[in-house]
Amino acid sequence: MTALSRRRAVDHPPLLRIVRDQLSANRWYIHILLWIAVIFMGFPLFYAALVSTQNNAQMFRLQMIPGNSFSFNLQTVLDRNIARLMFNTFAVATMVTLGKVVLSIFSGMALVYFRFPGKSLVFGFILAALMVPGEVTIIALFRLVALELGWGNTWTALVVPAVASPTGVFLFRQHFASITPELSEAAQLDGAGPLQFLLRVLLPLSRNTVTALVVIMFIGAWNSYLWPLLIVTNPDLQVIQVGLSTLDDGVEIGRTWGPIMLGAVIASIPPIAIFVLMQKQFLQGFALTRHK
Amino acid sequence: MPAFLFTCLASALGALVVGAVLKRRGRGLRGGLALGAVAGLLGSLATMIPLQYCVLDPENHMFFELSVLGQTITVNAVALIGFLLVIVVAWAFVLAIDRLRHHWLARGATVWKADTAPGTFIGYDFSPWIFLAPTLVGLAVFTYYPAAQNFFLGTQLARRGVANTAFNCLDNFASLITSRLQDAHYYILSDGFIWHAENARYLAVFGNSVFFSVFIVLVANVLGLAIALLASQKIRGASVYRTLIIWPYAISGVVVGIVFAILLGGGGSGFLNQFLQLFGAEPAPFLSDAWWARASVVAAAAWNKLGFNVLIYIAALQAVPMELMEAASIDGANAWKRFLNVTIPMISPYIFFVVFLNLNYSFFDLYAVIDNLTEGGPVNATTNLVVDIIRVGVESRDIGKAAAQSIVLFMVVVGLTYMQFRVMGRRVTYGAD
Amino acid sequence: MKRTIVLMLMVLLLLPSLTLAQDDRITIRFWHIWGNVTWLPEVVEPAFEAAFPQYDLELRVLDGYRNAYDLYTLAQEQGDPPELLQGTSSNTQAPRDSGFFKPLHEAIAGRAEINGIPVRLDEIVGPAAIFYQLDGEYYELPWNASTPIVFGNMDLLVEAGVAADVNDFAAIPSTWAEVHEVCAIIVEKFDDVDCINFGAGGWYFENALAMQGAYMANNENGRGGDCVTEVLFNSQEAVDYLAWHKSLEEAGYWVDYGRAEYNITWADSKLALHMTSSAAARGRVEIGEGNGFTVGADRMPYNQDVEYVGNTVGGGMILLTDGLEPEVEEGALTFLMYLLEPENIANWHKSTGYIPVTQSGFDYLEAEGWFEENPTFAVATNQLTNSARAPQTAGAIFGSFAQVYQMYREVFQNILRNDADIQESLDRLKAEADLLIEEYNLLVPCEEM
Repeated sequence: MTALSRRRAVDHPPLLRIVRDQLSANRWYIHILLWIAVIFMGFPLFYAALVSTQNNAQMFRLQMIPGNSFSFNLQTVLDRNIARLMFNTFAVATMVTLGKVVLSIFSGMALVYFRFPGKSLVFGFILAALMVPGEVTIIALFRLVALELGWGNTWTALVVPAVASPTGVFLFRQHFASITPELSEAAQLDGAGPLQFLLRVLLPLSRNTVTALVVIMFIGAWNSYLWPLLIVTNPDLQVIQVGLSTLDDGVEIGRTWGPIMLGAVIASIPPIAIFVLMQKQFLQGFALTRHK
Repeated sequence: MPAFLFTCLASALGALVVGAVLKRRGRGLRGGLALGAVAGLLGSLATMIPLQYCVLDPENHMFFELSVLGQTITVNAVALIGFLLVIVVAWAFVLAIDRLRHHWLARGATVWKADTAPGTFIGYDFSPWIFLAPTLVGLAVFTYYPAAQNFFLGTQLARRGVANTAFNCLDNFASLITSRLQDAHYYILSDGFIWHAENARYLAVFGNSVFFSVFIVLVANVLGLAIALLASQKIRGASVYRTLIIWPYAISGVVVGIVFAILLGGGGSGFLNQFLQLFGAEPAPFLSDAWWARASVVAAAAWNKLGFNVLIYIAALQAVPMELMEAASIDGANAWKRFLNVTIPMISPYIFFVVFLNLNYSFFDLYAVIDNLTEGGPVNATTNLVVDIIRVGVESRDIGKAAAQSIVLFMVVVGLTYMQFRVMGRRVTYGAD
Repeated sequence: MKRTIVLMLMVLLLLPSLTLAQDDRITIRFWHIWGNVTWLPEVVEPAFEAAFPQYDLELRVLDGYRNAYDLYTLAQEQGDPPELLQGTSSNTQAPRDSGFFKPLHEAIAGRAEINGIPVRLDEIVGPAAIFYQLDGEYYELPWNASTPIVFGNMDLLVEAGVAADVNDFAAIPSTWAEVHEVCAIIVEKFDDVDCINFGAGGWYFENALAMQGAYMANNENGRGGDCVTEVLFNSQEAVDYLAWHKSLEEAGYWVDYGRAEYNITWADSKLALHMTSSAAARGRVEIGEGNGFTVGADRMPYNQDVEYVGNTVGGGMILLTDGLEPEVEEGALTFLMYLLEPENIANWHKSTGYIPVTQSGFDYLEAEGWFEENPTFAVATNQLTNSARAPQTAGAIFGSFAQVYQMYREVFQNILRNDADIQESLDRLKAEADLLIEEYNLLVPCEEM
């Protein structure tokens, strides 16, 4: 059918153009619908930003113009050490992401470019870990890390348990397997060892996969909440997602929403920036592993 | 003595069942009998030795009432769970033994090759292990060990902050089905009745998890595909639209929860209600009514994940060959038919990919959203399996019961993954091939 | 090479001690949950450190009681707990069983003053005192004591003809029957106003039992010499209270807002009566001021058919870590006694609404004319002053209390939403709670007093 239609297309260019135009029309209602989608997606955070300039009274009145409490709210979140929290989150998320990517690359490489006894068993061992999400083990993991290892209240507890990533290994294994073996044969003929091959050939070819993984892992690490909530008590070491909930300070007295919303907006900027800026590479990384 | 009888019985039952099944599949009765007997034996030993055959001890029995066709039946919860455990483990042994047999048979054909597959490095015997070691150790220590620990903790009475623990058989599991604090109602909006269980707290929580998963997947995929269809059109500013639509994916569950809390909270005076009232709508109890609160969680979570779906679907739609559309068009198919007969099949691998990602998300990663939007309430209406594990294990410090719940959750993951492999394995091509 | 390493190690070891050497004050860490009470870091901390230059007070805000205790447990497991922890009245016995804390009376050891500050424990008022005592001895410091009271939007009540004027706080219903009467008028008068809201939570239940003189648990709430072995949640008093609550819901008077931000409704004058913690007084009044209505308050409605016994306290207490160095413990105690100083009690009360827990604090406020100017703030103290000092109002002592508290909510919801039978639901609740008590006592044997 493909061949047929291609021939027809060549035979009848006007028809092709008609179909194309029909499929990709620049119709006004598409713009309207898309704008509705844009507003729908954007409104919640826009409203949060609006409230972040208001005090409780203005918010309770549902005032739709910026209020006059921005500087007070900013002072409040600064007093609650938001700068420190942001830095901590950045440091932890970077370490986790870096660790995951490096370990995944090495593991992927071992699984594709080496032969060793029990390889399929090892791959199965790694893949099966996909079946054990962190939520399933969290109670026992907490006991292990806090009681047996004594890592409570440290970044070690945030970083080390997170760096072994079955997803990452899987992605890189698939990606490396899709690269023609002639490359590594050529590299070996040139006398390159595995590490040189990795640095000179594999990494440049894997930029998109690495980026895709970095984006997903970094956002995931930046947004992680439950684990740091349980394992870290020291506010000097805490991450922003948990820090947001200490801005939510009501208990019996009632919440002050402005600072909470300001914190929420600030906490959202880095992951959004990374996702938006890297969306193309992110997509290509996925397309590469899924489809080539 | 009862232990010996129990084991024999399990073995005999296993032999009967597997024998019958294999016979029906035309694979020989005798092999089936042997396989079943071995599996039943191993299954009962593997489950009952660590449990010290406690399910046979009348002292451990916990009962619950089951209403079937108007008849009330009293069921021994501990014995039931012990029985189910033996079956599950025995079945795992059946599969394993069967697989191993195949492996041994096949092994004769595939001799370990001395030469190498194309592209592999020769003469590096230790390198792969060095490369793999951190990952393997990490998974063993931080994934598999705690997972195994769960099975031990699940049989213990254990509290955080208390050094003592006590073996309590399968009570932690039994209490999940015997807890009678709350009625579980599950109905489909128009289609009447799905199920209604009286006084089944854990079933209600389970139902919430299923509800969230089904509806988050539905909403995020239908909307995601619809928006992607619009945004993948060749119109001016398409990439700007795409960027403006996908970004909420990067927002954390915490932020989603608290932002939706101010949009939906506040009863009739809350933001969304005031807005809706401009159009003459009645105020809705978004966070205070059980069903509205569930819907609110679905809305917040779907909003959060929509961006990702849109991004993937746009890519998928752009990969649909124009020629196919064209051909369908020539054959007289209208836009809707083209969508159903060309687009959907072409992008189905992406649909499965996105659906399973969303499914995993909505089953396991909703904690932050729920904790910050509804805190699992009103009362338990939006408490799902993960929220309940944290509530029991962390808030109530009842580690044994939380571990038992974790194991149930683990069973769900195994089920989901199995499904995933079945569906994806058949219909979707992965990776390099 | 070796020498370099040794040198580097020494430098590394010395560095922290160098930075520490600059500050030889004793650090007193207090983990609390009062993020939006600026009075603590802005007034108390500098004032305390000025009065006692040998101490460095470190305040740390945590997110809620439950979180605070979890994180404290973790800190204990790491061997570095803070000296003082904010606790909650709904979790008293488990911390006592944990061995993490030193009973307050042991630390004070009968002294009349600490570091020159008088020990004012004998001045502590009403149920706040007995709630944190076992056998007449203080285990924790009562500090943030609250009690449920009813706040009223007086302008709405006047408009409905219920109240004569905005200062007529007596018009706020104070018995179960009066709530029905007033709500009937309000719902009749306004289309879009909810009459009364309060959480379907354990605390109101606890108070309802105490008000009617009923026990929460056997052996006089565990204070009669024997340990608690079962709860008494299925008593007639309990059924009566829930029947009243249910009747309000059925009549459309009571509206459950869940966890939603009810303050918007309150600010919008869409809610006439709000029963909640007296600690919310500051917030309620401020919203009223900001939105142009007067906020009144009156006692928690009681059952008019039964003799009133007393309310019980909510809020919480401050716990003192065990095993501290003597001079550190002294510092922590000094801070606790500092908090009980009349002026501090008064300011704490003003910035939140928690009752002044000491008589001298109350007198200080009285002398200022505070209660006359702010009658809303007087209600809670009056309510607790009128409450009997009896085991019924002193709270039940069993270690799985916090867990049982969670279960109340589930059962109430089942009664209110699913129309479950009250007696049967409470029977079930009791059975489950008893099981939890049994389990807890199995791991932590209860020592009889």
